[in-house]
Amino acid sequence: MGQDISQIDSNEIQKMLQKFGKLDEDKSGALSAKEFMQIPELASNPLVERVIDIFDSDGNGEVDFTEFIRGMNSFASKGDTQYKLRFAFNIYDIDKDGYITNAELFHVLKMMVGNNLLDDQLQQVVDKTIIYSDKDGDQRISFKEFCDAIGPSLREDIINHLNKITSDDR
Amino acid sequence: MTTTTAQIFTIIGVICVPLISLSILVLSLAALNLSLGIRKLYVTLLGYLFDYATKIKRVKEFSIDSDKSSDEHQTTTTNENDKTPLIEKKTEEDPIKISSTTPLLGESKNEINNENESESSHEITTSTTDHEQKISSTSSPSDIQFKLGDIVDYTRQGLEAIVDDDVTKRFTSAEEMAVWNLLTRTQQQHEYFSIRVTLLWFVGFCIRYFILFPFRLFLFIIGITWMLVSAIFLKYFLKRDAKLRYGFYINIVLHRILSRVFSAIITYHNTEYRAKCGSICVANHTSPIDVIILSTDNSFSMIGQKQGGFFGMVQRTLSNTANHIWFERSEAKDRHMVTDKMREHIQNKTNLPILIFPEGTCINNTSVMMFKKGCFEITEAPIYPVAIKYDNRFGDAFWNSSKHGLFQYLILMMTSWAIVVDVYYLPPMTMEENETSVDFARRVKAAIAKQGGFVDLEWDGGLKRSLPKADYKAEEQRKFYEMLKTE
Repeated sequence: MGQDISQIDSNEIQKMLQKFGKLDEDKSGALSAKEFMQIPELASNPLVERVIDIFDSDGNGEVDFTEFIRGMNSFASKGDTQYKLRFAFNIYDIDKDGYITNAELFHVLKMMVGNNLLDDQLQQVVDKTIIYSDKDGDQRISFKEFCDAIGPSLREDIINHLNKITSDDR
Repeated sequence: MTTTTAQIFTIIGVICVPLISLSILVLSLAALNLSLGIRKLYVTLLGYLFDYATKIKRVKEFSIDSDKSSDEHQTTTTNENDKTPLIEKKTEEDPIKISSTTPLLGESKNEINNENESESSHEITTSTTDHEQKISSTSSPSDIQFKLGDIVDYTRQGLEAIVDDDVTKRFTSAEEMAVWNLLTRTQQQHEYFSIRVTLLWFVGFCIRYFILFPFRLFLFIIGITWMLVSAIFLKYFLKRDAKLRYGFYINIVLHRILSRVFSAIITYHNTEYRAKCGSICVANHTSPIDVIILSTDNSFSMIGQKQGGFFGMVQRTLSNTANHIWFERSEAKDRHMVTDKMREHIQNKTNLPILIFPEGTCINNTSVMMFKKGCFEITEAPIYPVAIKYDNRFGDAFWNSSKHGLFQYLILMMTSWAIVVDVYYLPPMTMEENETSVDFARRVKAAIAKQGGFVDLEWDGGLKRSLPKADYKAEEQRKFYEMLKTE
């Protein structure tokens, strides 16, 4: 993705390194999904697999420290807003091809609601969302369509929310 | 040949005589509950020393006033030489009289949001997040309103949890002390920043390991011997009533001796709320030493699993001095049997108060975690909450059982400077009308958290060892669904 990692200052990198070390129980140098799941607040998050998957940019099933920092870099308060929106987009885009298909949206929504909605009800929601956001008629949502669908006010919201992560907990 | 043996004997004599005379002094002070005021001096001096060491560190970083520091260094070394005999005598002090300024945490966040009362009785929460971004779109009204931006909340929570979550940091020693206390185990990185400080550290090391530690070990052995001897004495020589009465005082003396082993400086607050017979005392749990500290002021009946080995022997011996409740591991799973035993114990008004740690495991003294509701179901007895707050500067009392074994931990404790602790007795609480035991447990926990300045968490301490259950995730999914519906 060609991000400039120097957006996080060395203090934050130090803290990340400590956190990374603590999570990496078997000292393998990379975090597996199991090691992530030690964090109870993360384990109860329905999107945990997606978040880990986004970090794992080379797709080897584990997150090494470079991937970890790069993922966190998206939320550096000085970071480019594009990267933040991109992260939100990537939650949906499972195969990372730059488009959110019907199946991908269904999959992610299923993670979110679990068994509280029947599959066909869920499918209706998915279809409706695609119809609403898909402007060029290719039955899938591109990044640009995503940003437009979100709307400028919500865009601000997203950016502000994701900004808070690295600045809040000091 | 005889001259060498004579020499050896004189050497042993020279070492033993002060050792034994000091021990006798310490033990008699323990029995009589007196103080000599030396420990306060010791702790204050240590405080100055730590500040000095940190100041040097900062001075070195800015490299100014190097001459001034060297003058201070001269006076400090002479102080230390004077201090050595003082340190040897410091254990004579009664731990009760001193007040130390414990840095308390300012806030106590309450993280309880939602409660799920399932049969397995675990509690689920999320942090109180802002679910505000519900911007209604112009799409046709229907049951479920979903927008692409709805996942942002969970994404953010997930990332926040990775960066800094509330739970995993409770299971390791609390970090980041403002002042370094000359123990390498607390130094985050081993920086060599000044010869003076390293020298101080080395002197401290020698004092701790070669002077304090052997003395404390000796006291520990005496303490255990006292316990065994008194147990035999009580078992074979006294009638039942006298046994319990003497047992009370013997117990307190035993624990006073043991507290000196760790150079514990304990301050009691609100002693009018000391737990009475036929009641239950609950406290937050940080280390096995908690029991010793609480027992220096009051005698308790303990409740716990029967252990083997050294600890098992300790349990059996203690059973001679008072009525403790030890149960088998197989019985432990049957909560009702344990609760019944506790009820039985409480009904007899001559029985000592039961001491119980509802968290179930050691937490690092920055927070209190979920209280298991078992002992709060007993409505016949009032609950006396106690908050135990350690001052980390002189020794970190937290037992990280995955990092150190019990004996290793005890040795670490015996080679720290001191254990400084504040014990706050709180007024008794009973369950109110229409209150479930879970609510009651939560209320007691909040009171303890507030008094001790701890963060009040609903997470289960058992998460230290086991992974979270799948139910947590199901709960989150349900919440998301509800949110979608109400748009």
